[in-house]
Amino acid sequence: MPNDPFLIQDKEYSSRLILGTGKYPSPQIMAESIVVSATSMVTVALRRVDTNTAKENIIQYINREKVSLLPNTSGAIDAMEAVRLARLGKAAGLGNLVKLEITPNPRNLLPDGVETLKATEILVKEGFIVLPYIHADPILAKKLEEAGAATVMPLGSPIGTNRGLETRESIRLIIENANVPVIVDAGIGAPSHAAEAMEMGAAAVMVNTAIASSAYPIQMSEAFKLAVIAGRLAFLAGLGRKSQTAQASSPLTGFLKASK
Amino acid sequence: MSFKPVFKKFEEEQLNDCLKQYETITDADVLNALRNPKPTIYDFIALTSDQAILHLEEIAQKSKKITSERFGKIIQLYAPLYFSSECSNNCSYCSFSMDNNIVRKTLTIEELRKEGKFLKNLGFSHILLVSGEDRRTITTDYIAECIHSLKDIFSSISIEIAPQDVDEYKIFAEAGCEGVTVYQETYNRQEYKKHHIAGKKRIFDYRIDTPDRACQAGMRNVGIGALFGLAQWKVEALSLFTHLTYLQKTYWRTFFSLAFPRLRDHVSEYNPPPENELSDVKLVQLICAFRICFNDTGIVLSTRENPTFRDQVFPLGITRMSAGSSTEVGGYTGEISKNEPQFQIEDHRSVQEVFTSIQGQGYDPVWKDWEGIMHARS
Repeated sequence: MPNDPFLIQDKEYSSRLILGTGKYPSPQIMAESIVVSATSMVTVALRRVDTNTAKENIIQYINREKVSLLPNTSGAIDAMEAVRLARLGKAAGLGNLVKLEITPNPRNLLPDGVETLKATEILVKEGFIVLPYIHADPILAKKLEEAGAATVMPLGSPIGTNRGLETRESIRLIIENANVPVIVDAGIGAPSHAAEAMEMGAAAVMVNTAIASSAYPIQMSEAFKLAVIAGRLAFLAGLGRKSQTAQASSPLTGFLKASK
Repeated sequence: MSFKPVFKKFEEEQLNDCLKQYETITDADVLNALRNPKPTIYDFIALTSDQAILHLEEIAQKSKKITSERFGKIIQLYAPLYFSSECSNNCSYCSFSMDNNIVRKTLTIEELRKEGKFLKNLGFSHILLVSGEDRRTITTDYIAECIHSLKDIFSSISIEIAPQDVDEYKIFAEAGCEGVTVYQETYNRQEYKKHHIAGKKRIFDYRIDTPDRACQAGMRNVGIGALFGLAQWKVEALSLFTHLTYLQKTYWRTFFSLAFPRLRDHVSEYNPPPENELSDVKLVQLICAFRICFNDTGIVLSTRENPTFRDQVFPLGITRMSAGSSTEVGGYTGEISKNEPQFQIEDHRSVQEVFTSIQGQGYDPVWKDWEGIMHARS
């Protein structure tokens, strides 16, 4: 098998599974799920972090030597709110990675592409490594790449729905055209969904609800760990390279080569 | 935009039909409601009907599952902070009524901050500022000052005060408030007039458009509800369904929460007649039916309910709970002369006891789920 590092800009991550930190029954279960999943990156809602007191600080449950923090801007409804949150996180010492989430509708939490592009432009200029959460929109994905986004994170289906890759064909187009890692975010409800995204050539997947809201989060996080590895191996082994378009050579036109 | 015409149409054309539906609900209606991925008001009627009691376990299971998928196994904690008991209304059910001979108190900013710091030390980051309704003492400037003075203590500040105009809500938002709670008390116009005897609160239509005004001013979290016991519970429930449907479509950026407070003993004499009473079973049905019909709406459970009931019910659909509450002005630090609470609370456990009890059921009690800086207009 080829050497297969997962890079975001220049930094290498040992796992292609990114976990969320919300919705868990307790911080202890969250911490154990993180360890068992072998993830090397977890996302934390900046609005949940209390930068003033140590009380209920979810960050204290994360071993930052092994796991990178990916602060997110969930709750922000426009570019400026997200920018303010990102700056707050950076000032509080949470690093310069940011998962940009701009979701003006608090019920379906669908991302606002226009505001996300605006915020990406601002934050990239300020030196942030920006990972924007987007609808599976292939054009927006390219625009974000041009604006300096470090990855794109298209949704499989709306956050928390566990419905899997409803946007499959658009994600396929995004992966086909991207020069940055494509991380499938949101809607992944089962390890099989994660494996499918990895088989398609996603660089990584991000999972929260499916693990945190399951009856046994720790077991479920191990299941996801294995599914992501399996999906990636399958992609590298060639399954993911199955083309959607017709093959170049075929018996019907072979005679043309012969007559040349 | 205004809910007024929508509600008028509902009252005149739909409400009676809905009430009649309650009498014809069959088992099949309840089962259909449970299986409908996009439940309607008729499914809501089925789920809150007497017939549905036979399927209560299944209803509760579904509601619990939706809640944990959408919100996770977490309960967000908040505390009410009463800052004035002055009131220029007379309401049949409220201790703060103008004609009640009680000790009135309005906190100074210094006293308010003291109460705030006390609550912050307990762990609270989300605060609900509550007062009576008296525009002479509780002025716009004073309210704005109260909010502003607590900004460095709390990450989320909401208000439950007299209904305001859009411009006033804008001032409060500017000062650092992002949430408004306003209960219609009752959606039955006739009963509303009976219970709201004097004062500006008598104007039903001004109150019913308050959530609209709060949203228009840019408030991010808006809580609505009815005080169950003032009129037939079905009327309140169906009206809330209609109000919430309208609000969520109109103000799609705003997060809405529901509450179903039930009338408790207080200084006044009003006791709800039996047909108005919302029983424990019906309250559970309401929580679950609203959750099944509105997957992403907050549902609040206050200390008006007793500890046993709260512990049993919160996993079924609740997203926010108050704990260790005082409904008395200056009631936390206790340094202010004893005065009348607005209503009696039933859950007298300490914050830590409630916290431990939530954890004991496999839920994570969350102090902070908002960042004030996000909403700052700078």
